[in-house]
Formats: sequence, C-alpha cells, structure tokens
Amino acid sequence: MAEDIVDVLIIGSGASGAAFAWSMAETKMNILCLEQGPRMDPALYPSTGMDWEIRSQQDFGFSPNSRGRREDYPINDTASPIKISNFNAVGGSTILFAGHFPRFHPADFRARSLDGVADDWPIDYATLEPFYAVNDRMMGVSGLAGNPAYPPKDVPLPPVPLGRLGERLAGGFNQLGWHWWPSDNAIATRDYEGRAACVNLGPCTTGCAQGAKGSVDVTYWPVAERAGVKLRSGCRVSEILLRPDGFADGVLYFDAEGREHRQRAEVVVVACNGIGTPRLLLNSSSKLFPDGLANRSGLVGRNLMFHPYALVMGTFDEPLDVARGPTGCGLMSQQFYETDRSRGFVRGYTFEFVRGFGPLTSALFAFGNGRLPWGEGHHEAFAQVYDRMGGFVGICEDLPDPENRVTIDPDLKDSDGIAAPKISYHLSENSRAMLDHAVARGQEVLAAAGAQATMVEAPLSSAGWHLMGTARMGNDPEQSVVNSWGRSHDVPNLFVIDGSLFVTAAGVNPTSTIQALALHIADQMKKRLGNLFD
Amino acid sequence: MAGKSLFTPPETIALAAVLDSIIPPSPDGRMPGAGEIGLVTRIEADFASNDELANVVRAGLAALDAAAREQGAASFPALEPPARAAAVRLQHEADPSLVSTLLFSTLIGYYEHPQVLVALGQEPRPPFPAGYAMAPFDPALLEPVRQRTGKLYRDC
Repeated sequence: MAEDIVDVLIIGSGASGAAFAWSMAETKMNILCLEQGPRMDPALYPSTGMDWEIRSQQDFGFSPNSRGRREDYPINDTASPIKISNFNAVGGSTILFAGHFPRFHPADFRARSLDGVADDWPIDYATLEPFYAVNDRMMGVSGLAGNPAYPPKDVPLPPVPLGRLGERLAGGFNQLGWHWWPSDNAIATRDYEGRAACVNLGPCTTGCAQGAKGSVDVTYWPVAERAGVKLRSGCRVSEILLRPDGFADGVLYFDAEGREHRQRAEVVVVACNGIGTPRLLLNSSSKLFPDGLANRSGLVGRNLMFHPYALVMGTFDEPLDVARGPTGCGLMSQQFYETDRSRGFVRGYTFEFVRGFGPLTSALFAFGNGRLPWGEGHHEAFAQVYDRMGGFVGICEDLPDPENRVTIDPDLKDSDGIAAPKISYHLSENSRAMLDHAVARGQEVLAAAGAQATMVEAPLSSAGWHLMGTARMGNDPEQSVVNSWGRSHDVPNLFVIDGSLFVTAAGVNPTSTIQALALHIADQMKKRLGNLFD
Repeated sequence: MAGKSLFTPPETIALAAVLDSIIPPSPDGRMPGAGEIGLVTRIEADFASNDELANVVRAGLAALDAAAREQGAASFPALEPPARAAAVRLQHEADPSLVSTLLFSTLIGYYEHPQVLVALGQEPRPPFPAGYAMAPFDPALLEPVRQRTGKLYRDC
C-alpha cells in the first residue's frame, strides 16, 4: 500500500474520532481514519432475529475477551472487580452504547476547588457548552428542556417513552419527593437527519437495526465521509512512529489479512478510548520515550477511572411490558449528585432507569440468582419474575488514583501479535460508600414504587464500559499527558481526543462529554493551523 | 440432505423425556414442556461439535435407563412423567453432569421458541422491524418535580 503522507491521521473511529473527523473535514485537509474493526451491517444486528437475546451474550456481548470477534484485542482485567466492555467497529463502542447522553455539571470541572478532591480540569463547562450543543444536534438527542439539575439548554427531540415500568418508578421518586427527569438520549424519537424514528425495539445495546440510536456510524461518519474524510476499516495500529526530531511520523498497522503497512502523517490523533489509547502509547516506546510515547510525566495509563455501578432491581406485582422501549434510557435522577458530606462521601451519583428483560434473559437472570428452579415449580417461579422486573443503576463518580492503571501485559497478545493491555484497579473507600448509599436509596425508590423484592450487584462487575483518565489533560506537563486542547506536552504533532483525557469522571455517562471535548480540540486546532506545533 | 443424528432414536426419545423433566408442561397446560417442542434437534446441533458433552449426555441417559429398569420399567421414557422427574432429580443429586450439561441450551431453546412466546402472550417475532407501540411521555408526571425542586447544580 502506498505510503503517501496524510495531513491528519485519526486512530479509531468511535465517538471521539468521528466527531473530530467531521469537524476537521471543513479544512479540506487530507484526513484519514484507521479503524481496527469492520463496518457494521444493521440488517445483521441481533434484534432482527429470534435469537436476539442470547446474541447479547455471544457475538454482541460487552466483553472483548469472550465475544470471539477477530477485530477484538484481549484485555487482562483479572486484577479488577470491574471488567472491561467495549466494541471494535466503525462507530466503536457507540454501536453497543445505550445512548444515554447527559452532560457533565459545571461543578464536575472543579472537583479540587469545590470539594478538595482530585484535580480541576484546565477547561470549564462554559468552554464545552457550545460543543455540547453542536454535538446534541449532530447526534440527534432527545429529552426535555428545563431539568433543574442542569444549566438551561435546548434538547432537539422529545423524550423517549417511559412505558408502564418507567411511570411506576417515576411515581416512586415523586412519593419520596426526589428529583427525576426524562433522560437525554442519543436516540431519535422522530425521523431526524435521515435516521428513522425509534420504534421501541428494546435491545439498543446490541446495535440499533432501526438506525434511530445515534451510533456514530450513522451520525457523524456519513457526513464526514461525504465531506472527504477517508475511513479505512480493518486496520489495527500497532505503533506510532517517531521522527528523529521528536515529532510523530505516522504509524505501523496491520490490515484485516494481517499484512503490515506504514502510514505517514503530519498530525497523529489518538482516539482509541481509555484502554486502547494508553495501550498504543505504551506500545510505542523508543529511545526518546523509553517508558512509552508522550509519557515523560509517567501518567500514560495511570488514573484509570470507571463508573462503579450499583444495580438495584425490583420485582413488581403486575406485568409492565418491561422489555419494550430503549434499553437503558428513560428517566434519571440527580437527587444525590452534588457533594453533601453528610452522606459519608464526596461527589455523587446519578440514578438511571433500567428496563427489564425479555423471556430468555429473565430466565437466565433469575436462574443465576437462584430464583428459578428447573423441574417442578419452574413456571410458577418464572411467572413471578417475567415482565415484572426493572430498576436502576446508580452511576457513581470514580476519583482518580494513580495506582488504578493500564499497563502492557507481558504475555497476552492480540491476533496480530500486538501486546495487550492489563488493568489494575481497586475501588476507593469513597466509591464503596457511594455504592452503599446508592443501593440503599435505590431500594427506597423501588419500595415506594411498589416493588416487592430487590436484587443488588454493586459494583456491577460487567460495567467497565466508561474508560477514562489514562492520558489526562492539564496545564502542567508534570501532572498531565496533554494540554487543554489535547496536544501532547512531549510530542508537538500528537493529539489525544478520547475519554483518556478526563481529569475526573463525573457521575454520568461520558459520551456526550467525550465528543464535546473532541469538537473543542478540533476547534482549537483549526484556529491554530498556522502555528499548531509552536 | 439431512445430517447424521448425534443420538440414536432411543436416546432421542429419552432425551426429550429428560428435557420435559427440566422444563415440564405447566400444570394448567398453558406452557409446553421443553421436550414436546422439538428442542432435541437444538440440543443435537449445540453439541454436534463437542464429543465430550455429547458423551456426557449419552452416559446420563444410559444411567437413567438402567435406573428405570431396576424399577421394573422397560426404559426411562416408559416411566410416567412424575416418576421420570423423580428419577432425573435423584440422578442429579448423585451426579449433576447430565442436567448441568443440558440446562443452558434448554433454557435458550425454550425461551426463544415461538410456541413458548405465544404461550407467554408475546408475538412470535423478533423486535425488528415492527417494534412496539408505546404511549408518549406524559409531562404531567413531572408536575411534582417542577413544583418542589430548585436548582440542583452548583454554579462555578
């Protein structure tokens, strides 16, 4: 393959890479994105077949370690109570995300100043606000304006239906006098920009066959490609190359047939998520950077943050069509979001409504929890749980800890022989206290809503889908990997634009903020094209 | 051309009887048993490439047959359903390998089966393309929140 130099090389086509590519397209520069996964065909998504439920645990499962797809890389997460979830395809993990689209609060950028923990971001809410707004329009966000938990903002589309289950849960919040509001979701509730309106299929987290969910393969990428950005799938980058003068020279990558190629670039942009980005940087060591590229701070891979999830599910006294409607989206509560030290922890969490399961998942879930026998009594027990279960997740803010980190596993490799990442992670006492609080409050809501029995998992072990902090931004090169607009402190033409940038995690789903950051960085780059490397 | 069966005809009959013991017909007749909706075919497909699991099933079925003959029956399937269920439970207590091997595939095959979905009151179809009609969000639900909740974020 030719080694033509491109102006901008983006590694990764997920949430951040897509938004960044779209924004940069107006420069008319020669922009190429390399994506290790394939282009997905929505006609083959699980919701199109009778086996839609079990495929969520097979080829559309969350874990790359068990999914069995060639494009996945293994992740050693044995030293973490929270296991990694991701997806590798054009669109990245937005193929599987639920579509929750809350923004950070203004206070989330000032944890040190306001609460004396973690660090302040080098930017603030006001900096990102215009990019949040652009992103909401591009992704097609539904919800309802007026949420008292946020500064005023527009929401392009009306909220998703709550359904009977959601209305019961809303009633529980109302009975307790607690805040709740319809969630912001990247789900088109009306026909929108060529996307068909949501028809309440249910299984959003196995890809949206309808195209209503705003995975970036159906939002940003079609526009970016029409504008001239090149997107090459099936290309797995193994290493970022360095010129003698300390600038990035391009990358080495393997194509889908395992052939190695070199791609040169004037600017290299890493958008591989909070695990893939440090993996690539750490795998790109050299004489100039023996501890990994752009890692003079020693912080590449450190400060890994998840959102520890408290799952609290209840069983109701009547069938509630629990599996209909967008899987994870409906209502959210931020009653316990901002810091109140009387709760026994700092920072806070968001409750998000979780719909119930279809027949098979109900059976497997109940069997796994010892509530469904085989043989005699099977049907009676199934009737007690089927179409009656639903509840919440409490999404807790994780605080950065340098000992929570991504390193390179000494033995594990992917199918191209590239060294795989290893995760070391422990829950802080603050997170444990927050999880306990969320479980107790979640049980109160469920009781108020009339649920009879509750099941709890905290932390939810499968919930390592928000990957943040491992190449943090900041003004001090000793305390951060990139500056306030994503440029490496060490390598002037190397940028990071994904969740690795996060200084703190907040207590909400990160995709909206990841994309707002990517748009902010693109905006800064466009404004500095004349002196980008100064 | 049909592929070669994984199990012999007598094993197939016995396997259906075991499946009916794992998920029996409901007492009210509304829900079918797992053995009567053709799940043997699915089990054979699931285990076709795994001789080890297939042999576990064969051995378990043979043990059930032997136990039935000790009770004077011609074979395990010849027992009445309650006696079959008791025999499967008894064997499971001594050696759980047969039921453990079959359980996951049985649950999957059963709760994906159109006949079962209909019995549960569902349409026997995948979610896409028809989806499901739902009532739109009712803003009246939010009135209590609007009335009581002040600003919940900090300016900074």
